Amino acid sequence: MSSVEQTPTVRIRWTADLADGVQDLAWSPDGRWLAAAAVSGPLMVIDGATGEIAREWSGHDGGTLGLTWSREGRWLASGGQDGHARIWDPDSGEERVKLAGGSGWVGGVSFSPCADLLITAAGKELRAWSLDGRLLHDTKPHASTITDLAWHPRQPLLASSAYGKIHLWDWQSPDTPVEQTLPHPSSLLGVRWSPNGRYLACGCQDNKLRGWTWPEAQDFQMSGYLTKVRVLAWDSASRWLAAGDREIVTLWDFAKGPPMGKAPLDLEGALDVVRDLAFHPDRPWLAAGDQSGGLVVWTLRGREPRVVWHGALRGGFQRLAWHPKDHLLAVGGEDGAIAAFEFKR
Amino acid sequence: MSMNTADSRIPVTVLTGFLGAGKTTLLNRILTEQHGQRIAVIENEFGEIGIDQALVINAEEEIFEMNNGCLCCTVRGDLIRILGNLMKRRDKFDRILVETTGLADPGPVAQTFFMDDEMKDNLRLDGIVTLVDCKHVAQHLESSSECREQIAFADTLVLNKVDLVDRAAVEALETRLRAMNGLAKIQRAHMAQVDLQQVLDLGGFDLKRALDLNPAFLEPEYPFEWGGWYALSAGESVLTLEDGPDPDLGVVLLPVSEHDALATARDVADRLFATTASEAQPGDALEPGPHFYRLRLASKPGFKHFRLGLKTAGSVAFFTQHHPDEFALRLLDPRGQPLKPVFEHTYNAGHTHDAAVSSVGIVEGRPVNPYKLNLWLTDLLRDKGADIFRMKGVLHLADNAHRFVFQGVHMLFDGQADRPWRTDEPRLSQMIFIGRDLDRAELTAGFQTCLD
Repeated sequence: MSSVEQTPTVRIRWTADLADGVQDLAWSPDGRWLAAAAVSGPLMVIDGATGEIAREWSGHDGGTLGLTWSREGRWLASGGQDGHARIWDPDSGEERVKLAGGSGWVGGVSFSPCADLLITAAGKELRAWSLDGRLLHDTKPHASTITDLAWHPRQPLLASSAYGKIHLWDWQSPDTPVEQTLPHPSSLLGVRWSPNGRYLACGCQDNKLRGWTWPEAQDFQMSGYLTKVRVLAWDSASRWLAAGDREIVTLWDFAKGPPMGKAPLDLEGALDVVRDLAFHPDRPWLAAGDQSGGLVVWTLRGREPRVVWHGALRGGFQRLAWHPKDHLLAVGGEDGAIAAFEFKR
Repeated sequence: MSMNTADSRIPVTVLTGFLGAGKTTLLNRILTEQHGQRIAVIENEFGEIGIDQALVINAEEEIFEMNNGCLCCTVRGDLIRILGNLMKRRDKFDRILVETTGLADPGPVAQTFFMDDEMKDNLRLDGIVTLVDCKHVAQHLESSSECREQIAFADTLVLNKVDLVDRAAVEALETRLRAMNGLAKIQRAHMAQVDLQQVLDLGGFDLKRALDLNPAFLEPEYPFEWGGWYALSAGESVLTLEDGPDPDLGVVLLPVSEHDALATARDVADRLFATTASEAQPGDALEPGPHFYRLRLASKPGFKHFRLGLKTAGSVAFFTQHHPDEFALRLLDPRGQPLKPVFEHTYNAGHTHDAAVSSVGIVEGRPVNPYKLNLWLTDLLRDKGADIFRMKGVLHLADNAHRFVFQGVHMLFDGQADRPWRTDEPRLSQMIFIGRDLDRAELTAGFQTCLD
C-alpha cells in the first residue's frame, strides 16, 4: 500500500516548432540535447533544458525518416528519402559524412553499441559503415524492404525486420557478420529487444505480436489485436511489454517468461488510435500518445495500473521520448509542435 | 457534387492498363488540369511526369500476404509504407494517384485500402481506371489473366487510341468489355483525352447509372449477343460478312409474325442454340426456321456471303452468337440494298470470349434485413470471395431512413450509412457483382433470403 505512487504534478518546461509533422525524436545519451526530424526533412537539435534551438539542418530531400545518437553522444545520424544517410557533428554543426544507403529510402540508421559502426537500411539493402564513411560491409539484399533495426543491448547482434522474417546479424567481426533468420508469415513492422536482452519482440501486420527468447530462439506469439501492431515498448526491468491497438494499450507480463495463453492487462484512457508508447527509463511510468492529440501516463506501481496524468497536444501525436535521466517527456505532434512536459512528485 | 460529405478521407485513384495503353499520358493530363490541387503520385513504372508541383514517388511493388497465404488478402506493402509516411505531413494531399505496372494484378492494390486499418482510416479508394489500347487489347485479353482482371476491376474503362482502329472494331470491343464488366463507365479516347469527371471522384454510389446504361446487366444470359427483327421482301436476300474474331458464327433465323416480335422468338432461339448445329459454308442457302446454323467463315478468307431465299415477303428474327459488328455483318435485300432491323436488342451473353468474367446485377424493392444480409455475405465471400473481383451496392435497409452503401474487393467489404433517402426517389436496393464464373440464379436467390 505504501508503494502507491502519488500523482505527479506536470508542467510544460518548454515548447518548440518544427517546419512539419514530427517524424522522429531522440535524446542525446546525456540528456543535454533533443534531436528532432520533420517528416518533410528538416532536422533540429534543441537544448533539453531551455528548448532553444542549437542546430538546424535542412536534412534530407523528400523527407527524413529516422534519427539516432551514437552511444557516447558524439554523433547524430539520420536517414531519408533521398537514399542517403548522414552523420552530423552537433558540436561544430558540420555534416561529417554522407553515405549512399542504396536504391530505396534510407528508413533506418543505427550505431553499433561500441559506436564503431553505423548501419543503414535502405529498401532491401543493409550496409555497415565506418564513422568516417567507409563501406565495411554490404549484405546480400533482403527479400523485402527492411522495416526496422535494433541492436541487442549487450551483444554485437543486430536484428533487422522485414516481410516474412527477422534477420539476426552477429557482428563479432565487422567484416563478416553471421546471419540467422527467424520466420513469421506476415510483415514485421518493428522490432524491440527487451533491455535485458532475453526477448526480441515484433509488431506484425497480421494483428499479432511475435517474439523469440534469446539465445534459445524459442518463438512466442500473442494475438487478438484489432489492427496491425505498430508500436511496442519494454519497461526498463524487462518485465512489461506494452503494445498499442485502437484505444487500448495492452500490457504483457514477462515476469515468468513469455505470457502465451495468458490475458494481458488492458490499459484504457487513450481516446483514439495509439501512435507511440514510451516507458520512463527508471520509474514505472508508461506514456501513450494518440492520433487525436490525447496523452496518457499510467503508473504500473501498486496493485493495478492507473492513470496518473492526462495531457493533450493540438493535432495528433507522432512521437514520445522520455529524457534518459530526468522526469521530462518530450512529445512531437503531426503539425510540428514539440513540447517537454516535466513530471514532479 | 460529393455524394458523401461525411467521408473526409483522401480519395485514391488507381490507374492500370498494359504498357503503352496511355497511363502516363492520362496521369500528366490529370496533373495539368487539376493544378490547383495537391496531388501525390505513386508510380510503379518508369514514366515521364512532366509536372513539377506534384509529388512523385517511385515505388517497387511488394506483395504481402495477410492470412495464411489467402490470395484475396494480399496487399501492397510498399503502398502502406509510402502512403503511411505521406499522411504524416502537415499539408494534407487532396488526392493520391497510384499508377500500377502494366502487368499488375489490381487486386492487392485495391485490397490495401480495405485490409490495412491505417489506410482504411485515412484513405478511400475512389476508383480504378483501366486504360485499354484498342489496337492491342484483343491479344492481351487472350493471353493475360492480369489484363482480364484489370478490365474486371475497373470503375472506368478508357478505350484509348480509338483513332488506330475502325469504328466497328471499337463497337465490338466495347460490347466485349461490357460483357465482362457491366459496372464500368466506358470512355473512348484519343491520346487519353477523356472527360476527367469520368475518371476522378467516382466515389458516389451511382449504381442506377450503371444499370440504366446496361439494362442487359439485370437480365438472364443468352447464348447469343444480338437479335434483330427484319422485314424482308420476297426473293433472295444476302447475308454478307467479313473475317471476325472467331472462325465460325452461330445463327438462328426464325420467321415471326408482327405480334410476337422478338421476345417469343428469343426463347425459341435460346433452345435452338443448344441443339446440334447445321454447318453452312460461304455461298450456301440458309432457310428461316427451327435450325441452328454454324456459319463456317474460316474456309474462305475475307468477304463472304450466304443466301436467304423467301417465297413471300415476311418478318424474320435473326439471332447471332456474337455482335454483328464484330464480323461487319450486313443483310442486303433482293435489290442489293442494305437493310436495317426494324427492332434490335443486345443480349447479355453467357458465353463471351472471355468466358468466365461477367457481371451480375440485382435490383430489389423490398427492404433488406441487415442481419440476414450479413450472414449471407459472410458465407458468400468465404466460399466465392476468390472469384468475386468487385462488388458495389446501395441498400434499402428495413426501418432505416438512410441509404446504406458498400463496396468490396474479393473477400473484403466496407460499408456505411449514406445520405437519407429522398422522398422523390424509390427505395431500391441495387447490387452489382463482377467476377469469374458467377452464378446469377444463385446470387439472386441468395439475396432473396435477406429480405424482410
